[in-house]
Amino acid sequence: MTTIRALAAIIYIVLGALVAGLLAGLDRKFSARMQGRRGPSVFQPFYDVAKLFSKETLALNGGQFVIAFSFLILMVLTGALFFAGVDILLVFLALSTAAMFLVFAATSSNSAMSTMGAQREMMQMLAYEPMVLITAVGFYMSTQIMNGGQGSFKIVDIASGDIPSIVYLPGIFIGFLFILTIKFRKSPFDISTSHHAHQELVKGVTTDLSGRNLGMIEVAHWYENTFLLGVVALFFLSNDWWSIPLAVGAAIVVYFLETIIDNISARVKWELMVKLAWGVTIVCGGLNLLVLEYIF
Amino acid sequence: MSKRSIVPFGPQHPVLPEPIHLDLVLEDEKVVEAIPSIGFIHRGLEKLVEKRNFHDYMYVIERIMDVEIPDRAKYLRTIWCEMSRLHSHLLWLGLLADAFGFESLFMHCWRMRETILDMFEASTGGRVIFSVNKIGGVLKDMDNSMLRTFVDMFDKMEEEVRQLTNVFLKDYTVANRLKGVGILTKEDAVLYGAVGPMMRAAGIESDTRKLGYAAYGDIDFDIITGKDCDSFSRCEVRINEIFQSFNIIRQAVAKIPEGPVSVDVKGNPNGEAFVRLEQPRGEAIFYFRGNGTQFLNRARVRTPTFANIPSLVKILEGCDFADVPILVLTIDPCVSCTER
Amino acid sequence: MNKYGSFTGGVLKALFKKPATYGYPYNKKEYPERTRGSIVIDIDNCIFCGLCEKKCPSAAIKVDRNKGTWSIDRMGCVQCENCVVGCPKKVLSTDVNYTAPSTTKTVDTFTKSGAEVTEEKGAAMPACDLDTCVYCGLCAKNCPQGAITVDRATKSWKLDETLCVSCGLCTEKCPKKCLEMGEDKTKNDTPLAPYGVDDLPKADLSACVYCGICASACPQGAIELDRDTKKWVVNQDKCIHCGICYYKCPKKCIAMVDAETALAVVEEKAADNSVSLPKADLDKCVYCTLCAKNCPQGALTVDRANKVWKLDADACVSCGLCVDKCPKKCIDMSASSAAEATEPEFKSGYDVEAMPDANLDACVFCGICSKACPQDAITVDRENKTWVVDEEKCIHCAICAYKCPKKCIDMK
Repeated sequence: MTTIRALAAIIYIVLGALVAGLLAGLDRKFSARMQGRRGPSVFQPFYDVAKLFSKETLALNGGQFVIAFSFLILMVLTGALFFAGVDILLVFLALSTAAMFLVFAATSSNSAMSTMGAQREMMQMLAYEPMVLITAVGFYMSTQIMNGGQGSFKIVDIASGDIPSIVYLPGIFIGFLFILTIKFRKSPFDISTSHHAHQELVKGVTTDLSGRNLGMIEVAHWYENTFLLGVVALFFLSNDWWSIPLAVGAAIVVYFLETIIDNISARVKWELMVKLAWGVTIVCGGLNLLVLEYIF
Repeated sequence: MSKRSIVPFGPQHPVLPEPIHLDLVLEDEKVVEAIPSIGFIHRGLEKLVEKRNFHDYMYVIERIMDVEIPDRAKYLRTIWCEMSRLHSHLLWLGLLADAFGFESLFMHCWRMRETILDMFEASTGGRVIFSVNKIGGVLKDMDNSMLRTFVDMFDKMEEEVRQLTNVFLKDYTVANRLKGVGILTKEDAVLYGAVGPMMRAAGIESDTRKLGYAAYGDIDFDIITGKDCDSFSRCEVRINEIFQSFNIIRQAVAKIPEGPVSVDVKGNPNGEAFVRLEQPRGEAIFYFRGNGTQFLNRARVRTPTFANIPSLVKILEGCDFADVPILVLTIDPCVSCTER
Repeated sequence: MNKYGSFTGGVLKALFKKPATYGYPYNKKEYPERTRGSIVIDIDNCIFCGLCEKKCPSAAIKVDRNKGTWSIDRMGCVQCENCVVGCPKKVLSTDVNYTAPSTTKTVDTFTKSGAEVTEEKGAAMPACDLDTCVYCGLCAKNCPQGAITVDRATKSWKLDETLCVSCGLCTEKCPKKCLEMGEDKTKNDTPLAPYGVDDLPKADLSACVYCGICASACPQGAIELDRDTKKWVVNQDKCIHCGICYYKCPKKCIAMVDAETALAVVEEKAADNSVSLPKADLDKCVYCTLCAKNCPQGALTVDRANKVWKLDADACVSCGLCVDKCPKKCIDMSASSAAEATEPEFKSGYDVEAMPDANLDACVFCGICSKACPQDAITVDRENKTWVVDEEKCIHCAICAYKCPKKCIDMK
């Protein structure tokens, strides 16, 4: 069992970035077609990152590389821990730590754009963290129900229930989808940095990163996306074999849904984002928890 | 009181299609003051007219020289003017969508604009710079079959444009970014000398086309105004002007007389003229003085953007930093036109 | 009410439609006929006047007259067609195909084939023969560059050489043909024209024959004239006081006078029906054809072979030029009817086959006979003392004998 878990973590480290890179390419292709364009090749994200690594790195200070590298390492660690099936609380803690390093990278420069991007990034964390915690609690409670009283935060336990946990956690799933838009940096919540430099903050948190440093951040985002889609898949996993294709299919559908949402929304301001994120968290997440607590 | 910081905005900035520089004084994300500076691409038109020929400013020169152009040319100019308004407003809608991060809407607006550019290419040969006017008329005619094809295309386009503009007018996230943002009251619009849709959105009824230049005197149209004085209202005015342009073109095509499209004009302008025109962005003013040679003596062009910059500075005060790109766009800036 | 996701239908529809963009430049576009893609030049007919370079708003065109090259910065060109419209020789045109996208700026240079364009031609600028110039100002009005300044008041003709593009339009427009491209013949010490700058032409109606030469010569169409009603009027507004009518009048009946005199009402010449037509004294006539050659109306036919001198009375405008030009002075305007004028009668005193022969003992080889010969049949060489007549060319007119100051030529 331990071997399989270690193998899953290693496969994630090797393929995690590739899968997410390819998904990003598909995302760009789909977006382009929705916008009436032909769009670039699906391998374009790889070409972009390869180009970033070939470019001269203009770092404003020596610390930037260390911070960007730490962000990458922590993000890989988050995903590896997740696929190794350890405690989900530990995984989410690693995720938050990684996110903080992105904020550090942004604040390490004097640029107004970068600094304001960092502030907005923290605002985004403020918006999505409660839902992340509720998700962890929800998983715990679903295992509690499935195992008859004995709850667990361990991912292996969550993934090996009798039925997929989505059955108990529909509200939490909707809430998680909502904050996924923030984590994927998609419109309407791409306020700290967007895929296109067309916003008042230019590239927000990544404004002052260049070359190799920016390349690492980009790769870290790919790992992050794979990990987040893994969390989505976790909602659908059970001890039946058919839950695996179901989970993969669900992750792809969710990713495509995010692409559509990106294309049908304007970017909102942070006040509305926090209001909406917390509203959804309390209504969907909170109600779901209450139902689990008092009905089952 | 929070700490103030100054964010430089432009002259090269991704959301800013035009080289204007704004020093935004921020308190958190609130703009307390905006200090504009222009002049980054000043070309010295006033001096250039003394050594380059004047053939770009037909209407003014025709006024100086007292040239009466044929009626057909007037109608053709009207049709091209309104097509320009269509493409300019569609371009603006696209840029606005881009400013509030609605990329697909941006692309679709520009896709519609491409259709108009294709029409320009078929009728004048140019896509954006038409160079189809000359002193005394126009260089190229549009025959009636071409005009009919265009009207058919406009009929088809109108339906599609309606679907796009409905997104602007009815979408929740768009309304969230536009409604109540950047209010310029009627009094302020007068005080700061706003022109064009910026002014009309504040409820002031004024449109230089009503002066009846080209064939506008024979065309029946109303001045479109807004009432909310905010960015949404400005967007609404421009959207309504798009559909008005479709109507004006249809009327002009129905009424266009047969005949020559230009008259010969000999000699050089001697005298002066002052002309007001309604460009898509608002009222532009041209003043030229010729001295009987092939070069002009004096020239002054006041573009609508120049007139709208004071209003822009006014509405920027107190807005959110995130609203700055939208507010800069609501005046439909063409700084490159301004900096003559 | 505003609802979220109102564009969902729009984007999903677009997802399954053919995209609006295509893989330019790998996929070619079909351009409409009027597309202004790129400027092309018919270099062999280019005169390198440089007007296109001057008219180009983006300074993309460079013209080098000395090397015979015309070059265009393809990336700088804005396809405004100013050059095409402004080209005086119409050698520029527009092609629908755009300049191919490139990673470098491309400058296309065209060289005139067999470029014998020399520096000498490069310097060609109009020069004015002030002896002939009437300061009408047409050259200045037609100059596309405003390089010529003509001041009637001070009788000055000036060229701004920095502006001149050597297009030659001024020489084409000059009614006096006193402008020439090339060496500077402009002299400012020439005598002034024999009339004032604001003078209007006035015809002496007693001498006028209403031939109409003045009216057709007027560059402004300012003279109205009617033979039948004997009307001769000058339109004061159109007149540019050039005096061309004064020079052209075969009867020398036009005078340039001040406006007051010109416009003073004069007794109109009674519209009589009397005609005055040329009549040749055929006893003297040598059928040299000079009268026919000089007739502005082509009304005279002279046939040497058959010894016929014939007037088309309908075409004749009674201008009297034939009288002036006749070397034998055998024509007068004595005929008063067409019948009288055209009466054919052969009484030539000369042998129509006679050839001139010079008595070389008396001859001084002055060359006057050679110059007078309407056929250029006589060659005179002063140095070698030779006098030769080309029998093929000789028309036996005896003008040489008539003109010879030494009277040493006989017709034999």
